[in-house]
Amino acid sequence: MPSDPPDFAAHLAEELSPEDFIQVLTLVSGDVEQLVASLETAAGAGDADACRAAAHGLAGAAGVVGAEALEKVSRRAMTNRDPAASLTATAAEIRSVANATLRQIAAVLAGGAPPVPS
Amino acid sequence: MNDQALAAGSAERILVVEDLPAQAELARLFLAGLGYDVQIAGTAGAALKTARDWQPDGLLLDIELPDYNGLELLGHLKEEGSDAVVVVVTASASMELAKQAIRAGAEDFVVKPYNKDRLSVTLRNALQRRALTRSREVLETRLNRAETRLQDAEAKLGRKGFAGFIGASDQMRAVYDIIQSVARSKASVFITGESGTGKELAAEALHKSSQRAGGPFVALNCGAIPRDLLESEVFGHVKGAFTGATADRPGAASLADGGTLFLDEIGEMPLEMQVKLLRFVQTGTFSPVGSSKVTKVDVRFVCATNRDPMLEVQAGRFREDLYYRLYVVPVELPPLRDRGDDVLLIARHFLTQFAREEHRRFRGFSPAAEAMLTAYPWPGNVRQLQNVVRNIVVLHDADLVGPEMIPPPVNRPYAHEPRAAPPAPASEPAPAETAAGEAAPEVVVQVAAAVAEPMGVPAGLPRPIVSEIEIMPLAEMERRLVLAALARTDGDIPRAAALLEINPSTVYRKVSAWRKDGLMPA
Repeated sequence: MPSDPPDFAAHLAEELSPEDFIQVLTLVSGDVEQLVASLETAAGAGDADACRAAAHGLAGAAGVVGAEALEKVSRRAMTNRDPAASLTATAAEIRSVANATLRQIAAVLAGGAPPVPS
Repeated sequence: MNDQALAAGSAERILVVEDLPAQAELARLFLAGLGYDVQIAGTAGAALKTARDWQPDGLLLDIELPDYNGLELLGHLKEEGSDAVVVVVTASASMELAKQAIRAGAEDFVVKPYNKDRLSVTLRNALQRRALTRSREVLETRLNRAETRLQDAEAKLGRKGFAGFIGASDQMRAVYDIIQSVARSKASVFITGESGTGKELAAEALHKSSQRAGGPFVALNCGAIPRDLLESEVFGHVKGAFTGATADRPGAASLADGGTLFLDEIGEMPLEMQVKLLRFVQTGTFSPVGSSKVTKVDVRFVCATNRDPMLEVQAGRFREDLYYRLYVVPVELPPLRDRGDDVLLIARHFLTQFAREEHRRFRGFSPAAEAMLTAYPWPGNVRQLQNVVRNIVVLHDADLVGPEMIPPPVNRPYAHEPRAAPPAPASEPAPAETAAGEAAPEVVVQVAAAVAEPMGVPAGLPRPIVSEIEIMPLAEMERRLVLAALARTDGDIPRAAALLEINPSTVYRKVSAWRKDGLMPA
């Protein structure tokens, strides 16, 4: 499983005030939660288009905070045109990576301070 | 705050079109930090509404939107004439879409994830290009307006001609303005003016300036056609309609379909024909002679006469109902004597034209010759001036036209008398010198002298040559007079009739009779 770099969200910390940084991380966290849930629902329904749309959103949200692992699996799900690919398996993989990202975000938010850029 | 916003004292407006809250908020925070005024739309529909209401300077546009594609939104904005710059936000995987967006009118794109500096540079460049474009458009608009004003001023101050007319006098500029104003309309136009003032030229100018310019222009001289043939000339006839009608023949009305029908000398139209013309003018329909089939055409009517049409109505020679149908927009062509220096403009034009045709050296008129031309009242108007200049060019060759080359009666001192009392209008007896410069038979001068001498010459009229009067039978005198008038007008019966102040049909009748009696070649 890919992992996020140690300077996760560091670029945001450079460019935003601490308050704005927290606000954006909170929004990204919410977006990721919502999009993964949408992805799982779409996969359960066999709706490949809805899966791709949710994956697209996840890739964007991951990109905001530099969550490279989540962005990578999301993009793969966006572009995968293999009809044999299992939507539910893809959704499960993304859920797993997204959970890791959400934990990272929660850790940063709990710390009360942005990470120090490496 | 961005530089432009600082300079302008107000923030530029950026609409962020993004459906994901985190990305929208990040963009808002970046842009607000850069000094922009920001609004967010989560769907393409909401973005379109905000763009209409808020009139942003730029859009930060995500392509993947919940309702419809960002490219479609871009198309709608361009269709509505929005000049907001559009910067497309795209994931690296959708670069092809970003290129499509650029082709569709987006100014630039940024790739997610982007940082504040990248967004700042991209957006600032795009807005600066927009500002430059706007400045150029403003300058171009100002330049175009200035050029238009300059052209208008040149047209008003220096226009020396229009659609074949030559003349810069106030009177002619007013005529040009009327022609241009009414050209686009379908309203009937009634042109009045003395013989030789350019009535047919005015009719053609109307046609050429109108939306019918691509259609036919058909001119019919009502005074030059025997009255029993006039209906056939206007409406056409079918085979067998009358003796000699060996085939169907379209008339002027059919030929002018989609264009302009110019009825010259309409005052000469017989009353019974006026009734048929009225029906045609009212309904646009007619039946060819000998046919009951009704034909409908789309024709604009332009009429002309050298008489006062209202006086003709009062005299019972012209139907009042037809008058009101045709006399919608009057165009009165001024006589040449009222056109000031137009005389010289026209004379120089003809001099250049005829000198080229006749291979002469003439470059202009001497001041003395010009003084003669401007002092003469030109009762035959432009046509007479044209003949005089051709006379000069044919008989002489020099660099300048001198006063010694000006033919009578233009060169006579009496012609230089004040113009306070202008020559009589066409309905009055025409001066004998009307067509000076042409080979007028001496008999005309003799008759004019016979009439003018005992009674004195009316003020303003050129004094004729006094010569011995040949006494002869009155009928012979009449024949000679008519033939002289025909010779002077190159056989133009309506013009000859106008000179003689009789109806053209009278001339036709007399000519036919003289031919029948062998008094005139067939």
